[in-house]
Amino acid sequence: MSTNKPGFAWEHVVGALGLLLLIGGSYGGLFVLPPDRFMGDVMRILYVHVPVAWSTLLLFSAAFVGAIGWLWKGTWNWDALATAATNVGIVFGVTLTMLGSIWARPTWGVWWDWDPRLTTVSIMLVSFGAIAALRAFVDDPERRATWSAVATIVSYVNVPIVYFSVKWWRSLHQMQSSPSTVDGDMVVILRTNAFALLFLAIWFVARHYRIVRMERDIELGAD
Amino acid sequence: MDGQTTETTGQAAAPTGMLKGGWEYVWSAYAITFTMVLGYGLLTTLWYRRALSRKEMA
Repeated sequence: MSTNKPGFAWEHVVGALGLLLLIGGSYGGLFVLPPDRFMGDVMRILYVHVPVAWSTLLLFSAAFVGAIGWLWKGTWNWDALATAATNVGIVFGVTLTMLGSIWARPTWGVWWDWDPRLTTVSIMLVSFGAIAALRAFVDDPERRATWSAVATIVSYVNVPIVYFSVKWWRSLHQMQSSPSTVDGDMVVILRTNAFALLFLAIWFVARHYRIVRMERDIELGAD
Repeated sequence: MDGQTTETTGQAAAPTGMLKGGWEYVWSAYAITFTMVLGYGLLTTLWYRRALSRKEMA
């Protein structure tokens, strides 16, 4: 990605497609699909909650790749990827938690429970939030990149635990759904919103990547 | 509505059946999603422009 000339950026096409898909998928989830047999209309939250969850895990995975790349190659592109993906992942993760809490109230009867899935997600958000804070407090760019890369790798250990927590400790949070366990029409809407949120996440990361690169150029140029 | 159900099985059985209502939760969830996408998108655009102008001045 070049940061020299701010012409038309490819990510705008991806972002616009993501927004269109999200509008279409949300329309389908809200108005086209019937209510769930047990959860009724409340189940429509699934069509945004689950895609946001998938995107959040992918974003933190991208941050992990960026962290490995920085430690291995030592080029600023990898650090910019890790920074951008962490920042966007935190926003998606907070949204995910809010959506889950809204869904929990009518189905579980509480806004929050220290269920293993919710607990591990909380740890994930706090740890990646701490990495974002770490970046803000370290002045030296190389030291900042290295420290935050190590912290990202350590924090990422929890991400697979988040994913498998509902299988390992079967508690309040339901297990993952799969195309074999939900109706075909639901799968279409879920996939539509999953690609929508993925494309929007790509737009966010690409824009933040460019911002980080510009800030890094200014910072390194000032040395 | 907080988890209300309309059907019961037997006299003292636990309530079963479809959860009724709850659209306020559904609308809230979709509103949060779109607010995040559009609001964070706007902020990201503003941050990009600020970084661009700072780089041009540097």
